[in-house]
Formats: sequence, C-alpha cells, structure tokens
Amino acid sequence: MSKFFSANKKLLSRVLLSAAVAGAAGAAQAATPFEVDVSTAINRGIEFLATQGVYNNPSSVGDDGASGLAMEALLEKRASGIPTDPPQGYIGATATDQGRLRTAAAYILDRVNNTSFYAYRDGQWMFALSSYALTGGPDKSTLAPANASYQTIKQAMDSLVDRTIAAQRQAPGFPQPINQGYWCYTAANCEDSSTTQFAVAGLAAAKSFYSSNKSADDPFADAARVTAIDAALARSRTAYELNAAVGSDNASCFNLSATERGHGYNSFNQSGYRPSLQQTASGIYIQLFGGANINTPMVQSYMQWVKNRYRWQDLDNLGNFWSGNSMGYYMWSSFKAMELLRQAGVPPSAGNIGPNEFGTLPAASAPACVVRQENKEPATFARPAVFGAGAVGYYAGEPKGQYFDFAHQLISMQCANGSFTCTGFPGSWGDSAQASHNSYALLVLQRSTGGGCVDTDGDGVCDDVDNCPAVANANQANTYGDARGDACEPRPLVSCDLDTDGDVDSVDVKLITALRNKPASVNRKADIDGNGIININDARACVLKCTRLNCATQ
Amino acid sequence: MFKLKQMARAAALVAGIGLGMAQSVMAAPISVSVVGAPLSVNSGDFFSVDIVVSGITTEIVSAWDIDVAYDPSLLFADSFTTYLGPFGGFGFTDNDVDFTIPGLIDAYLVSFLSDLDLTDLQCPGAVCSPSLTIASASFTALADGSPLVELVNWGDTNDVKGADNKVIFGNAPEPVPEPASLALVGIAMVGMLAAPVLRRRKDAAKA
Repeated sequence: MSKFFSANKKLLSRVLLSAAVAGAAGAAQAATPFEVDVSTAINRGIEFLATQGVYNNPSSVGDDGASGLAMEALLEKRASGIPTDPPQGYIGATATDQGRLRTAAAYILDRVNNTSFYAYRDGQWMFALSSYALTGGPDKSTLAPANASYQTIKQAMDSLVDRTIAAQRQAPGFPQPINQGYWCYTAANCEDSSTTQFAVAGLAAAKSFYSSNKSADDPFADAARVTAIDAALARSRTAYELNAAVGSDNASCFNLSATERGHGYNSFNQSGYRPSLQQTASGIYIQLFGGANINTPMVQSYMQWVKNRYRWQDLDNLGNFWSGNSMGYYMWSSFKAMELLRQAGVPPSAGNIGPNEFGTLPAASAPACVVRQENKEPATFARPAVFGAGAVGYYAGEPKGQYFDFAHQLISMQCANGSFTCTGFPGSWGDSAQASHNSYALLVLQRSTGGGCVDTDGDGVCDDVDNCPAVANANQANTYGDARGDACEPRPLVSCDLDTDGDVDSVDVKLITALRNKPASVNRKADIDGNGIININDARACVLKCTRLNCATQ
Repeated sequence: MFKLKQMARAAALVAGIGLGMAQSVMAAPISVSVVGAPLSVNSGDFFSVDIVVSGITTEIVSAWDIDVAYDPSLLFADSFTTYLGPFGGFGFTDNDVDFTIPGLIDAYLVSFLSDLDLTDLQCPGAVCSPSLTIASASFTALADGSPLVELVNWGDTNDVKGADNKVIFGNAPEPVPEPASLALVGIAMVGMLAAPVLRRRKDAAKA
C-alpha cells in the first residue's frame, strides 16, 4: 500500500470542496511565505523539466537518464502548494500534468522489455511506476492498446523486479553475507552503493505496489514477489551492517565517536572506501527497508556518523571523489531516511538519536568537527530575488531544522527558468538537463520518501498508511475512526458488549441506562462516545450496534 | 419486500432532509415544549400536560432524556406516561421515570428499533408528523396559584436524539435556520478545508 492512495482520497475531497466554495468565499491561503516560495520553486522546477522534454515519449533523457526520478517528482507535486499536504499523484494532478504522466508512463511501459537491467534506471522506474499505478494512472489498455511493444503496468513491474533481484549479489555465487546484497551497474560484478541505493529504493516501492489490493489492467497484488523483495532487501541491510566502516576522507573529521559507522561508494570490504555523507545517508534507509528501525544499533551508528558531519551547503571533503556531484542525492537520501523514521513513529530509546537532530550540534562541540554545519536560522535570510522582494526576516517563524536547511539552500540555488543550478550550485553529474539534480531538488522540497515501503511492525501495512506503524495490527482496527488505530489507542476501547457475553443486545443497553447521567469514572466502558458522561447518547449508540433485530437477547 | 418498502421510505426521508436543508429558510426549528398547562389552578384541581417535540418534518425521534420541573409546594405529580407507540411499543424500548427529587420528573426513553423501523413508525408514507407527543404528566394542585411546568437542564444529561444518533435538540446548538447565505456556507466550508491543513501544519511543526 502507499501513502498516495489514501492521501489522494483526502486530496480529492478537498479539491471538490475547494471548487464548491470558490465562488462564494475564495480559497483559504494557509501557506507560510516560505511554503509559498517552495511551491513556486516546485512548479518552476517541474515546468523546466517538462520544457526539456523529460516527460516526453520517448523521454529526452533517454533510457539511462533520470526519467523515473523526474516522473516521481511530478507525482509528488502538491496541488495545494504546501509541502506537508498530500502529493497529487496521478488522480489529483491537473490535466496538463496528467498528460505528462501518461506519456512518461507510456515511455516506461514501452521500454522495459526493450532494455536490460541497469540499476539506476530500473530503480527509478520501479518507484515511479509504483507511485503512478497506485494513484490511478492509466494502464496499457488506455495508453497504447494496440501496440505489442508495450507491457501492462504489472508486466513491466514484474520484469523490473525480477531482473533486479536476479542481478543482486547473493548465494550461491556469493556465499558470504558480507558480499551479498549489493548491485553493480548492470550485473552483480561489484559491490557498489550508488547503484544499490537505487535498486533498494525501487524494490521497496515495488513492495508497496505488490502489497496493494488495487488493479489496473491486471491486479497488483503479488505475495510471492513481496516475499522475494523482502529477502533481497534483508540481504542489503545485512551487507550494510557487515561493511560498516569508520573514518572519513576529511582528516579533520576522521573518526569522531566510538560507535559511529558509515558506508562509502563501494563496500569497505572490497574497496576500502571510507564512509561518505551521501552513501551513509542512503545506508540508513537501506537498513530501514531491510527491516531495521530507529533503535537498531547500526542505524544509530550511521545516524551518528551523519550527525557528526552534517552539512547543508556542500559535501566538503565528505563525499569520496564525487563531492560536488552527489550533493543533490545526499540531500534527498538523508532527508528521506529521517522522514521514514518520522513516519514509523518509533521513539528513540534513551541516549539514541532521533530523526530531528541533524544540524543541532555546533561544530566546536564534542566531538568537534570543523566542517560540521548547524541548522540555518530562518529569520536571518532575505527572500531570494528570483521569487520577489523580501527583506531579511521574510522567512521568520519557519521552523529550524533539516528541511529548512535543504529547502532554503535549494530554492536559493534556483534560476529564473526553474533549474536548480544557479547561486551556490555545487555541481552535479552533467546529465541531460541536469535532470537528476533537478529531480533530487524537487523531491527534497516535496519531502518525498520515494514511495518506498517501510513496514516497521511487519504487519504487511507500510508505515506511511499504517494507523499504528510500530505495533503489528494487520486488520487496522480503529474503533474511534481517528488517526490512531486501536493498537495505538491510549483511550480505553469502546465496546457495546458491556456484559462481555459476545453480543450486543438490550441487556447491554440497559446496563448503560442504569448508569444514566453519571460520570464516566463510574464505568468507563459505558461512556461509548468518550465525552466523560454516561447518557442516552451512549445507549442509543449501542442500539445501533445491536447484534440482532430490535436488540433482542438470545 | 417489506424491507425494500422501508428502505424506499427512508430514502424518501433522507431526500426530504436534504430538501429541508436546501429550503432552511422555510423550515421551523425543532423544539420541545410543555403543552396544556393551565394559567391558574385552584387547590384540588387536576390537569395534564403533554411533552411535544415539534418541527420534525424531516426527522425522527429515537431517544430522549428530559427533566420536567414544577413547584412542589403548588403541585403534586400524580403520574408520568411515556408514549411508547412511536418507539416500538413495550418491549422494544428502555424507559423509566424518576420522581425522587421534589419538583422534578426525570424521564428517559431509548428505542431498540433501528432508524429504518422508526422511520416507518413515525413517518408513514415518508411523511413525518410535524410534531410528536412523547409523554404526558398529570398533576393535582395543592393550593391556589399559577402553575409553571417546564423542561429544564438541557445539555449533557438531557437531549433528544434523531436519526444516526445525532442530537436534534438539547445538547447541540439548536438548528436555527438563517438566511441561506452563500457566503456563510462558503465560510463554513473554508473552515472545513482549513482544519486539516492546520492540523498537518501543527504536526509538521512538532516534527
């Protein structure tokens, strides 16, 4: 399951309501000045990618470009403009954006069976296709019904998942767990983390797809592939634990605490790479997708490594050899990892790091690291001129933290044409239209987790849609119908079966009226509506839940 | 077949409620009142009053809890009769009356019938009576005077319930129809829209 499906039901109702009142009272503007500028930046960024032909069929960036990243960014655009609101997905998108999504999806459905495994591209296509499908994107029967070259969404996803898992390093070819779980670019001939992070992200999103009960041309549900994905993700998690390394390429911040660990561009065991900011950050979510949580010791070790070297400006000498190139990905992977932890809602144990602590440690504080950066102070910045006039203090009141650090850095970087490559641009891979860097920027601004499924409690419901993500509750029971499922409900659960004989009947109703107009403390079970007083409202509520006609007893 | 007929009537009722909303300027508010009290009595006089729910042309009554107040130095409460017929009759209701407190009759009724069945009883042919007598009280005057019999203590402990267990009188603000101003509707709906946004923004601030 995915956040897109549930979120867009809410979105759709809000859109309809907005339409209903538009003529009467106008729309409510709830966004802060910073959110308004972020929204503008997102819209400009999307338009830039569109004008570059990234969403075309065929995409201007080709089979091996960042078409999947760009498509995910378009799916995660917020119709409201507020980054904390639900992503638009397909169903909530404008007609223009839906047209772009259809051509982008058609391109994938056409090309999957005409390409072979390539980790970067296949990972992107898996999460883009999953997000598209789960939010109601049309399938082959609409996009290209008569074209034999096209696959259906399910067929394309199956192909991508199967060839990705087949290309993973695993037994019997690689009998030791320390060598398993990785991918190389097009096969299993190296232990590369830049490709592994994409393969893992794609598989985690595919898990959302296969865990869904939705369908398009074919049903999406596929328990066997969920099992296969879980096994692949577990192998990667293990590899990132076994290859956890100390040190960094920056000698002044080499080893800062006894328990910190990280990961470089290749496994330490095979290559000797010291940890880098971006690969350690993606190593956090790789462990989460593999079944770890915030209190898993190695997750904490990776978080310590990043916290001790946190940066929002550039990667300094903390990115192995590709410090400038990797800034966009570092921003997305580190924010995404923390966002997944926030969604899971598991509190950090005493002494452990929480998901909101990057940037809270001054450079001089122990363990000192001269290149470490603190969170920006929103009130000290003027509005970037590309968004209009605004003196220092224009963003005052915006919460400090990783999101502001990254989002402000990115919108400050944006050019008038929407590309995030102007002021302070640290450089990137130089791919067509800087599509990967621009997509990373958009995904950070949108607080994206890339559609990946973390199932912290292992109940088969992904955290982003689980009403109690840290406690297994596969049935998602929710007596009060609020945001918390019964498994997380601090209030006593109501049941009209007051006499606990297994049904609801007139005896139960009369037990309530016998306590009529008394405080709930007399018998909390009788206060069905939880308003603190037992009254006929509770009695009649239970009449409506009677097991038999007219509340008859058995 | 019977069920289908009931459902059709319920559907008609629901449609009627919708129509009522659309024409709220025309609809009378729901009220509960004491009907039939004499202006003055002489010692030894006997009289009865009815407890009447009015303005329910598009609504049913499914449960009620009321307090009837009177001057115990002037009146003696002889009896209190709950009309069970519209609620399913004896056996399909839970009801009681309490005279413990001098000057106060505390009575309630909860129907065991479904909303559909209550609709069938109270709104035959999908036409609800504009008023429903739910109970009667009889008094004997203990002295000469002007008797005041009134309903009191509306709130958490006293109200009248309608379909879907909603409070139609008492606990919730009275449904006072206002001019069907589009602007007012708009303001309400903007509030509905803003609420989830504000909630989310608050949550984000915590994160």
